[in-house]
Amino acid sequence: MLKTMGILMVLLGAAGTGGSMALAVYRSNVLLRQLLAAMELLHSELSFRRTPLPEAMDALAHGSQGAVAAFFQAMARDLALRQERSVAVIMRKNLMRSSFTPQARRILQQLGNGLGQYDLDSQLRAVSLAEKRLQERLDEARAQQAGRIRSYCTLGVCAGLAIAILAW
Amino acid sequence: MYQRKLRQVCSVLPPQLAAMVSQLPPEQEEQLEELRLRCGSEITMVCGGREQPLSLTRPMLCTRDLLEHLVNLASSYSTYAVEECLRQGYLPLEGGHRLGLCGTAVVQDGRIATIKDISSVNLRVAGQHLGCATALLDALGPNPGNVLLVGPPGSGKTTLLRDLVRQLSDRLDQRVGVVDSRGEIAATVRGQPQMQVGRRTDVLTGVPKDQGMELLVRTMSPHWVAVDEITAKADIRAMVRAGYCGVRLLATAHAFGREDWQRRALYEKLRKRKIFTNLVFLDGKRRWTLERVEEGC
Repeated sequence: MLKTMGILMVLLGAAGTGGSMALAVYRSNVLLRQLLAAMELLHSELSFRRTPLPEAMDALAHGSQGAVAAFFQAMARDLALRQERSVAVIMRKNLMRSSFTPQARRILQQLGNGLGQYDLDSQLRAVSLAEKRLQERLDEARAQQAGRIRSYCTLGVCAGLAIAILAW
Repeated sequence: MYQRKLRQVCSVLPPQLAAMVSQLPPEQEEQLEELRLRCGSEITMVCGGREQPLSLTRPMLCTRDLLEHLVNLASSYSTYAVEECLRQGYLPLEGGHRLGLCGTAVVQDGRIATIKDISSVNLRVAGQHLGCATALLDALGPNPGNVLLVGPPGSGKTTLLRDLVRQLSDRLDQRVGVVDSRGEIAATVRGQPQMQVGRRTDVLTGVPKDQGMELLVRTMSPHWVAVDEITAKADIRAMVRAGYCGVRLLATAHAFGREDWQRRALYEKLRKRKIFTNLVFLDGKRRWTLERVEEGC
């Protein structure tokens, strides 16, 4: 009886691990979607209202959720504090603290390197580029999402079964 | 008041520089006119008309990073939001202070698009001398004609103009329209004048003077239109047109005294047509003399 319960627990644990990995894939896609929406909002804020960055970041925070909202809120707060030399420095600091994927961090850091420094056209081009790159990542991730989620789930269950058979 | 002014100035300075400025002795604090930062040189200040090191005991060198930080702070990390001012070589700051910029100008289609690689910065601390135009307004009488303030740079033309605007508005209950192309008269930040320009004063910023005058006359029906620094023939043409509409004019012009004013070709039309009936000549020591001109056509 105990043996059966142990095997069931191993099986569930392994399946759970696979499931959580699949969930991480899903979450990273949600994050990319939210970042993309934030970039679209930033583009509008800059092109139609020329909103200064601290206010624009605040608007992005209010228009987002979860980790993305927290990130832009932190950006707005640090910009308002006026302690750092440039947006790039503030962006780097907050990206380090964020839970974003390395790809998303790279895209945002490249955006941050020029943000706030040049004329409006350059700003809009930089935001458009970030949008484009995020869209590419999202398309890639979407294409792989179903397969990866299925793989992680199957792998989890199979690994659990394998351990169960070995332990029997 | 000086402490408030200094706090406003310090709020746009990088922390290390703000710390130095906030430690200035009270007598220097009161007289502080400018902070000058030149890349690779010691930071200086202008106090009582004299340029001197910001600190004798702890000299501080100005670096590229410091300049970048200062410009970023002054523009709230958003130079695109103040692009037009940047084209004109300055950034307006809260409290009416302003940052004059020098660097490499990027020219597109014969027009300055922006200034990059900032090499030196002049932070001008705004000073409003309330009441400095009282004596002049008294001398002008109850129903003055067009007034032109003529003087060399730094003679206090804009300060006098600002107080005249304020007093015309508050004391004589006149509607005054101000064309503040470079934000030097009212120093408007997000629609809020940072200087006292009077209760009946409408301020139009960021527009060329000639277009601004026409717009104000058409839309705000002012009794007076005030502009700072007549620098182009278009400004003079617009003044003549505004004069025909029955609006009285208040303006400033650069000249080193009466003779210089008579010599300058730009002002020939103003002189010939006797547009301004009150010429106020300022010397470099904040003193003025009023000269009345018989009304022209």
